[in-house]
Amino acid sequence: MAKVKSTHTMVKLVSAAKTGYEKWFSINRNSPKLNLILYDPRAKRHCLFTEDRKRRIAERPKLVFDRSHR
Amino acid sequence: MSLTSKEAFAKLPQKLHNFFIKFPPRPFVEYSNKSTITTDPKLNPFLPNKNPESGRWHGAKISLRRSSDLYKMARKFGIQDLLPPLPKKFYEEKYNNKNWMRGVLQQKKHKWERELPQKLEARKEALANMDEIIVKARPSYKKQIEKREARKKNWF
Repeated sequence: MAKVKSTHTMVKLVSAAKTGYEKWFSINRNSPKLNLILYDPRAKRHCLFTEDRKRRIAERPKLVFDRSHR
Repeated sequence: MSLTSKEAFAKLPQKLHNFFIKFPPRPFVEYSNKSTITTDPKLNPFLPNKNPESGRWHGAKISLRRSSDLYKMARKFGIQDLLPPLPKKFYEEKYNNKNWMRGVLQQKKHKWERELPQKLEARKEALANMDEIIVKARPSYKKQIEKREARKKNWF
């Protein structure tokens, strides 16, 4: 029997200020790429935190705003 | 009475004599300064050369130990320049080009020590451009920057 994947995955966010400060989060497996603005104590200011590793993200159909489907 | 070149050649030590038969002296044949391919007519027997077909390197035809022997022998007769160029230096040339206290004067340091200035420079740059980096990912952050500027105390 194949291993069942859990609903959530652990993701590491790294500071864009390249101080080496990281934060870990547990997020939904299908959610899009996470980037947050958090406090970096080594840079002593709020910085952008982006995901460190690539992971498979569920494809979302692009939003279409023309009303041709009606 | 002086010897003819043929007679002099016959009087050379056996090793040198045999070497010059296989690899004629320099004014008559050109030898490459660097490693080339094995099919090159200017192949240097004292250097490793590459086989162009297999891409593999062949070791030197005459090893470093043997080439040193030949050089020292030839030097006794003053004909060391007739040999193909060697990768090694001897006697005065060697001593004059020595790199004294290399490890002390040209410190190699550790990898992290060598990379540290670049790392700190990258960190400084990222910190200076942090506002722009955030705005690229989050355009609405501009408001926050404006608020911050407004809150800043000025001396007026």
